[in-house]
Amino acid sequence: MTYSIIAEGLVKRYGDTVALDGIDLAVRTGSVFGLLGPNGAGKTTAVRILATLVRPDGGQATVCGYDVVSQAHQVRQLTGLTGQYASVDETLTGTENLMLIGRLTGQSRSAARGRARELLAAFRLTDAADRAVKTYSGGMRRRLDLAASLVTSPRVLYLDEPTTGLDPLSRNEMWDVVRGLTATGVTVLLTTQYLEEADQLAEDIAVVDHGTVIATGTPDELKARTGAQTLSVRPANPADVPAVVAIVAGFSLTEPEVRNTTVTVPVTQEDVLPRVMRRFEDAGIRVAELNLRGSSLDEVFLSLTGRRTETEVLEGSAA
Amino acid sequence: MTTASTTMNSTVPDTSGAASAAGALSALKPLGPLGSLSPRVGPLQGLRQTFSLAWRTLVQIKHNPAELIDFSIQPVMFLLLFTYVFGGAIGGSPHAYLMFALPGIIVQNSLFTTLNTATGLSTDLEKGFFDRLRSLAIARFAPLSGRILADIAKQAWAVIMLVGIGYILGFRVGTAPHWPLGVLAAFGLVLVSTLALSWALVPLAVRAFKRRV
Repeated sequence: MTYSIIAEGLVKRYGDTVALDGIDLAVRTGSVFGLLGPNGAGKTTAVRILATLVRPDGGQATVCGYDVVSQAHQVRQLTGLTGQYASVDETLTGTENLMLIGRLTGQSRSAARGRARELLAAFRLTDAADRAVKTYSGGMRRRLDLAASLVTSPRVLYLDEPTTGLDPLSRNEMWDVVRGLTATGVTVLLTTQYLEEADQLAEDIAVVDHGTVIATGTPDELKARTGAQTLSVRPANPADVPAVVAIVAGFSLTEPEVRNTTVTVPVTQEDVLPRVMRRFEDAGIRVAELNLRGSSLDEVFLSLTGRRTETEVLEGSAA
Repeated sequence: MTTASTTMNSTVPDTSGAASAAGALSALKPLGPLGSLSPRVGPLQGLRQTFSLAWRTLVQIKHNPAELIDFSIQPVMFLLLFTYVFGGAIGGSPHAYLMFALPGIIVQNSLFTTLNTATGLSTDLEKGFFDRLRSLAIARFAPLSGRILADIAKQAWAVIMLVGIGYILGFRVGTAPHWPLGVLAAFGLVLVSTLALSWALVPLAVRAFKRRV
C-alpha cells in the first residue's frame, strides 16, 4: 500500500494560539481522506501546510515523497487546492479564470483553452463560460473553483470545506463531483465539519480537535465506536424522565443526556427502535416524542471527548 | 510564441467534442507516472508568468469599464478643472497655468496608480485568490510583479494621454533642441518612481490584510 500524503507531528503556532499540536496523517494513494472537526480545530492550517502555503513550526510532511518545505515547488506541481472560499477572480469570466491558470503553469494558449473548455463542460458551466464570475451562484462558483484546481491535473487534491455554505442541492452535486474524481485516481484530502459528508465521501477519517487527532478509522469503525445514530425520547409525563434514562442507558455505552425533558443517547444497534418501544410499554411509560436520527458531529464529539464542541457550548450558554 | 510546450500538458485526450456530461469526468484524469518534476522556476518562466498575471489585471478593465474612468477620465478632468476653472486665478492665464499644472497632474496620477496596486493586491489577499496563485507552481514574485507591470502599463497610457491632450490645449515642451530625449527621460523617471512607490506599498497591503487563523 502506498501513501500519497504522510505528515508527522505537524505543529503550527500563531502567537499564543496553537493551531496544530502534533498532527500525524497518512493518506493512501487514490483514496478520499476526511479530516473531520469543528471550527478552529486546525483542519485548514493542516491543509495550508500540506499545500505549501504555510510553513510548519515543527514536524514534517511529504506529498508523493516530496517534502512540503524543502521541495515545495515539486509539491505544488502535484497538488491542487480548493479553499473554503471560492478563490477565483470575480471580474473575469469562467473561461478566463481557467485559462489564466493554464497559461501560468506553462500550457500553450490553445492547450489552455482546450483544457478550460473541457473542465467547464465537465462541471456543467459551459453556458456560463463567458460570463463574469460575479454573476455566478454559490454552487457554480464552487464548481469553478474546483475546476480551477484541476487545470494542472493534480495527483493530490485538497478540498477545504468544499460544501460549507452551500444549499443541500449544490452540496449533493459537489459530492457527486468528488466521487467522480476518485474514480479517476486522484488522492483527495477533504476537510469538513459534517459527519454526514465525511461518511458519504471518505474512506478513512481522522477526527481533529484542538490541533490533535483524537480518533481515526473508517466511517463504519468510527460509527461503531461513537454511535451512528442518536435516539431521543420525550416522555409524556416529565416524572418519567429518570425511568426513561435508565431504559435507554441499556442501549448505549455512553451516558444519556437530558435537556429539559428530552433524553438523547447515541446508539449503535439497528433494531433499537422496536426494542426500546417494547421496554417503554412494559414499564407503562407514555412517550410524547421518539426519534432516531443520524448523529451530528457534536454528538460524535460528545462520545469521543465527553464534551461538546465549543460553538455548541457557547450557543448553549447564550440561550 | 512556440507551440512546443506539450510535455507537461499532454494529458488532454484528443476526444474534443465528446465531453458529454456523464463521461466528462474522465477528462480529469491526473498525470500518468511521476514525471521528472522541475526543482525550481526558471527566470524566463517567471517572466512569462508575470506577463500572464499582468494580462489578468488588464483584462479586468474590459469587464469593469468603470475602472477606465479612474485612470483615464479622472486625470483629464483634473487637468481641465485646474487649467480652465482655477488656472486663470492662480497662474494669471489658463495657458500659463497649464504649463505648470500638466507635469503636476502626471505626478499626482502616478501616486493614485500606486494606490491602485495596493488596494488590488489587498483584495486578492482577502478573496483568497492570492492563495490560489501561491498554491500553483509559479515564481513567488510573479503575483506581485504581474500586478505592478499592469499598473505601469496603465500609468504609461495615462501619461501619453495627458501629454497628448495637454498638447492640444497648448502645452509646449520648453527644452528646445533635444526635447524628445528630455521628454522621454521625464516619462522614464515618472514610470520608475511609480514602480518604486508600488513596491513600497506592497508590504502595507500585505500587512493590512489580517490572516484568518
